[in-house]
Amino acid sequence: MTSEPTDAGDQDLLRRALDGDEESFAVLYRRRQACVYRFALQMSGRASVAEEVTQEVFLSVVRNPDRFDPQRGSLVAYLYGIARNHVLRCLERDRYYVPIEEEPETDSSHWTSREDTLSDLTRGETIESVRQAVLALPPNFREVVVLCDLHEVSYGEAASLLGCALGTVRSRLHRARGMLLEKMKATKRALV
Amino acid sequence: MSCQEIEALLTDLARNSLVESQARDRALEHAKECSRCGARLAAERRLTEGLRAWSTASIGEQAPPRVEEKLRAAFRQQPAPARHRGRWPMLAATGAVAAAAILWIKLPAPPPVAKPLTPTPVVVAQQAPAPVVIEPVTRTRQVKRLPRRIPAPREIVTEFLPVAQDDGWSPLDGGRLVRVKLPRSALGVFGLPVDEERAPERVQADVMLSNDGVLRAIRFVR
Repeated sequence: MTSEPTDAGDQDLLRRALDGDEESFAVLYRRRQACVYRFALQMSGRASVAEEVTQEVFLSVVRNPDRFDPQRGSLVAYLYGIARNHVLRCLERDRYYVPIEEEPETDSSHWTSREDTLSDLTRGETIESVRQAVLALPPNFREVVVLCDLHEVSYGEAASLLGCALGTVRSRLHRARGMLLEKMKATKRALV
Repeated sequence: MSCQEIEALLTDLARNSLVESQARDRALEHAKECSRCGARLAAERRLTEGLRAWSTASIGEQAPPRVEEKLRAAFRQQPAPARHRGRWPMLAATGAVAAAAILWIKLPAPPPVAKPLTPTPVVVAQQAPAPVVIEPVTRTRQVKRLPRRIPAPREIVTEFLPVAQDDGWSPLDGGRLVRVKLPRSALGVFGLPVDEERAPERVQADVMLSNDGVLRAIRFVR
């Protein structure tokens, strides 16, 4: 007896999808698209890039099924890995262009819709300030902050995903956070 | 615990990551007594809070529904063999080996050739059922099929020439690179030779801007 796609594990879903079961592919996509999309959005700061990356990641899963090796890590880690490569490619491709300011990607309306408007506003400002500081980091520092601090990926998983030593992840994160504090301090000084 | 030792633990302490309990206690004790380290730890904790707030605020973010629609359409268009590609190479290889083995057994021995080929039949036998004769032909075809490589136009660039602003900015602080066209006379501003006859022409350059839009460095491209 086979289980429903919604109850199945990632690898089961992938196997069924590769056997032609579209519903399993859809369940797998719905289960994992958000973390891929958020990763790309937080890395690039642009919804258009996040959308493109999410699409490419799942297309790549269907088109190159033999590239995923469960012995080397989970499907989620594999998806992060492909997403990372695509994001870096997009950043490289777009580096000659000065981006026209897009609308803020995160819908901030829900921050100010509660009773404590002032506190929500402060929270919104803090988030925006952190977001700007993270986006200004060089990509190799940005990715460790996004993975370890925003997606709570362990140092070990991040190291295998980024193809570097665990100590490198630690030291990059330490340095990246130092840079973030400096940037945020500078922004605050500029606003005062 | 010294200030230097606590520096190495700051990130983990502020992120509530797993830190050995004795080291953690000593570090927190030090942070209480040392105002500098105390302030550093407090700042790191605020940063952690800010990052977590962003992470929580982004939880609802997801790809728009059109992405799923496009992917489903692509999934349907994907030919079945491609979806099974993981298995096909193995099946194809097995089939090829089997076919080659049958051919090897069934085919009569090749007639004697006036000019014997260099490797002796023993070498062929060691390579077992692989159709040795076919291989060179395939190779020749592959060579013929190879597309001609058109060398990509290469850019020649100068080194980045820094434009001092005396505010301690470093490339690690981030920024952006923008390709621009400048009058050729701009070369002279940066101490490069200018051909007077071609002065009205424009040259390409990459300018490095910091995040506040200030020019930090420039390189010229040909």
